Amino acid sequence: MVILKLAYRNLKGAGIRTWLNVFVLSLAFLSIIYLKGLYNGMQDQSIRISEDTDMGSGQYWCAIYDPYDPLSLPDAHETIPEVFNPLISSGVITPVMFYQGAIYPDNRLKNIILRGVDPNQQVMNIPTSELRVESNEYLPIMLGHRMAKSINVKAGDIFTLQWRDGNGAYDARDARVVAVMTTTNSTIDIGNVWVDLALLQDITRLENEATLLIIDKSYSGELPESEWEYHSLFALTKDIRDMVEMKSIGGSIMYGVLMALALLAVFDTQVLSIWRRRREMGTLMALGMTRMTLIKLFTLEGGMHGFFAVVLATIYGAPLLYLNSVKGLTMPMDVDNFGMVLPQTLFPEYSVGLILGTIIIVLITVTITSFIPVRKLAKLKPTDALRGKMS
Amino acid sequence: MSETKLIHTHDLVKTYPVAGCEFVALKNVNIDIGKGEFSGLVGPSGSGKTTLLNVIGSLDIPTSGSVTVLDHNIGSLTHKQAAMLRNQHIGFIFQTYNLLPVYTVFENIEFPLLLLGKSADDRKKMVNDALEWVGLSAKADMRPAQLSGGESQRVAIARAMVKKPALVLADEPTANLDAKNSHHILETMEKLNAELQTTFLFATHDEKVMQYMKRIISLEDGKVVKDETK
Repeated sequence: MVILKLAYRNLKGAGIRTWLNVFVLSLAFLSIIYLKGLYNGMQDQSIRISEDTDMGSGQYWCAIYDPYDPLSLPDAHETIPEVFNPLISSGVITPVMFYQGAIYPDNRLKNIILRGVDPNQQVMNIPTSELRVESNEYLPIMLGHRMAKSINVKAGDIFTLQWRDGNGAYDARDARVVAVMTTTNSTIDIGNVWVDLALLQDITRLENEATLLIIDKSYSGELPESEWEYHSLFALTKDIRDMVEMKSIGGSIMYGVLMALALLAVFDTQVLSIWRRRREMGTLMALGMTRMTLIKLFTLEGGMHGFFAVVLATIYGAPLLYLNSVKGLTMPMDVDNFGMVLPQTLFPEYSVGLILGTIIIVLITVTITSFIPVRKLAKLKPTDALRGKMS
Repeated sequence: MSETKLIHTHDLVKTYPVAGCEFVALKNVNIDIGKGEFSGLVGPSGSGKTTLLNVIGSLDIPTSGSVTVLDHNIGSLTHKQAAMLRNQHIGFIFQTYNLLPVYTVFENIEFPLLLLGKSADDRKKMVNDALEWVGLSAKADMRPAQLSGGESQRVAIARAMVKKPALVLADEPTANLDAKNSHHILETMEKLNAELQTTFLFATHDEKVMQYMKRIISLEDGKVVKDETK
């Protein structure tokens, strides 16, 4: 308690030197929390969007389907196992079929993936009901807004859609854009053309076939055993987590540099403090302070920089971080270029664990940094210190 | 040791390694200092006054021989025990005052009491008493930088005396002061010596200080060459 009081008085007495260090440390501290929060938010939002619009709570894949092998796509469809029929009928599972095709907007060829989906499905939060259009003249299709923009079409436009049926024969029909959906998930948008699954099965002569089955995110019941391979949401979002982790490592280097600068300032202050206060140390020892207490006092003085940094960061940083978490961070460029599912506005997530963990890391590193130059006091002779020498 | 004998040295030798050789700072010093004495170690620079004061104050240890202070054998004390002895029984006054610059006068004087673990009420009373002894009650809230040399040394005296130690060791306490201030602080210490029966041991080569000493121990080249009581 006494050394706490003394350390506080000494730090207060050191004036601007203390507060500069504290400010730099608080900046590093806030940057760590901000970046970590941003990556946490990025990961959680990406997973939520994927779950909501594409992956559900998990998927069953037909044996041939491999999203990392485009050459497997033409054959990636199989008859849906009967074991899934009850869950499909009750709307818990919805089948989707991926099929290669090409479109000719303004007579320009563009290869696309046809995504056959039940217009009545409720598993994915996308407006597939727009596909509930009956027409003998054209095929009703739905595009994402990015896709529509990239091929310069809008709702109501008609262009040619070409595909090869299950027997390998080429076929083509006019397709009409019945809806352009706005979605934050670019992976279901760019290069994709949504079509009624039954219609797709019909025109490709692949009756009752699908590529994968998506499970409703709210479903918590038993899942049937099948030869189709089950992939949990956790497994499906591995890429997102890996990507965020990679970005996080890049961020770690940045806040590592920031922390190192701040710690260097604390270290420098400690070294300078020990050098300038040799006589003071001698006096303290003459007054009856032990070397151990002296070491504790100087380490605590250094460590308290960390404590004050936390307090200062809370004062000016908490409102900033709160505002940031509420208003979000609008991405300055088209987020489609990021190569992962991202919303246009990112909302950082600052968990209690993140904040407490960062506080503990800052306090421990500052205390260790403060202790390193102080160790040499263990050999300090009072007579040398009083003469202004270090022994 | 007798009850009145506070300090006893026997064949005290202190050497330092200097440029690969041993420099003998104290050679077979034998002195006894009793309770309540007002004594001075005098001699030219390099005669061993400060070294002797440091050993008696447990800031240093003898190379050979023995030093007993308040029944504690200085040579056999651990660092912690030596710190405790200084904390409880010995006050120091330095030539350069050695006040803690970031503390106020009050806090400087209070410092030894904090180390002793005194309560806040006790500390306040004892510091106010000490401020009164040295006539600085009005300057309690000032910082050392705002004080004159004489005032700073009076604060140092108050800090040394606040815990009412058995022994006060003063190393050249008037070296940085003018004649008027020197007499003032010496009178203050003389008064405290008389009132509190505190033993004072000075290291000095200042004639003004010697006038006040009841006993003068002269050192030359680390040896006691004269020991006279007025």
